[in-house]
Amino acid sequence: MKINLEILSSAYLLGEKSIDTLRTKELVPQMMIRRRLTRASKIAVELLARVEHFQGGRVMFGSSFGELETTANILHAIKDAQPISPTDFQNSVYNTAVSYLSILNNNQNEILTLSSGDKTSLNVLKMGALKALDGDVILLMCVESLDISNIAEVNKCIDFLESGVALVVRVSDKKATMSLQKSELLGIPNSISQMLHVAQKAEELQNPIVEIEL
Amino acid sequence: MLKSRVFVNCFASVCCASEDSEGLFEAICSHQSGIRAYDCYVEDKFVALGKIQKSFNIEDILYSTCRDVLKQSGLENFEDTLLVVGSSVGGMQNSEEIFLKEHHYKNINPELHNINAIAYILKEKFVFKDDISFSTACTSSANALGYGYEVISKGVYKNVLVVGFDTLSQTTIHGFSSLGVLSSSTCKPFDKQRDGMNVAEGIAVVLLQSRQKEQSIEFFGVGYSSDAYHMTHPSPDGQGAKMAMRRALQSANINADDIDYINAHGTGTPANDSSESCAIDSLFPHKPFVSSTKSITGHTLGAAGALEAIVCVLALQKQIIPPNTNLEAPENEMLNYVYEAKKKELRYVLSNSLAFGGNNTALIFGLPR
Repeated sequence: MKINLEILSSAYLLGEKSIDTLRTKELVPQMMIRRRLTRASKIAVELLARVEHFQGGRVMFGSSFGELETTANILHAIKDAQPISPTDFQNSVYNTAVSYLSILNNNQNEILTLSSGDKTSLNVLKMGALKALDGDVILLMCVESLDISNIAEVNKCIDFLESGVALVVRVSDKKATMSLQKSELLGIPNSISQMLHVAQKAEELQNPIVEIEL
Repeated sequence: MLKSRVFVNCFASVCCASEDSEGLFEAICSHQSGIRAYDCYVEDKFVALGKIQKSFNIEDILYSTCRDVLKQSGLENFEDTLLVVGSSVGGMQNSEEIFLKEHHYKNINPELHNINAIAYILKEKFVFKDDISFSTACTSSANALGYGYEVISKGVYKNVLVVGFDTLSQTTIHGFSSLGVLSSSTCKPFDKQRDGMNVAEGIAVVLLQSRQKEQSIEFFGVGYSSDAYHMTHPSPDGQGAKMAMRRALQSANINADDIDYINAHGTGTPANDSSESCAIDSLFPHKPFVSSTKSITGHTLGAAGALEAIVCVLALQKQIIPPNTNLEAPENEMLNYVYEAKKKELRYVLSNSLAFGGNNTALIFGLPR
């Protein structure tokens, strides 16, 4: 089945180490929640603030590596026989970032998180297309936050340690105006590549529509 | 928009209570719990956990459970099948073993660390048309089932293999211990004296198909919601869970009073059970039967949704309502709890899964219309 998605709005963020343009203090004035946010959550908050035409609704989120920093903190605590921070544990699940988004925006809609390795953003697009058949406007988002100590021990090819893409989409019966492919930008995580390509291309087009094959 | 009906045609499972699904249902009906107390995980503390009794490696248990389902199905292979995985920790057990031994990340294979590790391993054993993996903590495989339902009902696939899988790991045991929610004995969902949950491991594999077979149970609908309340505490009035159940009823196109039995999420933690029982009480005034089966299986985290879906399917096939275990003095006396396995005409049953981040999913199964 082929489904055409119209891109109503898009945003992306890339940081070679950490993204330094996040306006978390301004966007999350509630200090108690702000202090608990993970890096992925802060990137998600920033992306949501940068897209238009999404006033709450269903959110489809993806991350290949999830919450690496809190996971690493937990592993180090176990290794050192130290107590685990309850906040680290609650923030270690893959759906942490979008859960904070739902809390901050009182969004009680369906919010799903997938993690499909290098195919993560491709699968977010597929899942978004399947869901968008119901006729609503959907927010698609992919975030990776890999900036932890000693990440170089396992990371040999990703230059942008923090990255995120957001697309606001709905089904369209018009012809596709772009093809779906990987981004040509080198050093980004493969897991955000297809969505980044769509976001980059959408900036150049007046009526961006992409065909998704399920 | 919906085009196709969805049927549960084959399934297999392994958990602490049994190495197969029939054995699991018998264990639930005869109150034979697989939970045991261990003093080797958390310093100076007994914690009761659900460990699969026979030692296993991840590759073998994934392969053998999916192979069982393939044999039952009569399919030659999974080449036209979508693989949908639900897992909370993925390959974490493997990563933490390496890290805790070597104290560095150098030998951790990223492909075998993250959630996608399960699909990665399965794709070395079987060929699938495509695959997708969900990770929403304890609703992971319920959401995987929901996605399977949608791709079939919208006419994209005819066969979907849903795999719910989580292994015990130091991270989850210590993590839940840090939240103070682990019980030192078998959990007591919905009881006044409940004192926490039992983290467990398990695998549940379900084949969904558009084709009805003799023993098929129909998958009627799915409902999703978000609490938008707190990362780990459900809203006390159960609004999020109630919304997911209401949306599942809409999806299935049935009324609340059509539901005969609810397999509750029922973890045995004070917060979960009180919130969930409020939600059930307020949405189902006709008082359907309610039980949690986690005193027998423990909480298998990302596998729980699929494992409990199998319990619901067996309940419908056998027309037997699975009972609670360890429930002596219910906190919320408004619900219609099941104390012993009961032969009863069952038409529709609902399975709840609730997770960190306020992620809620309700699934509805029933006898084919």
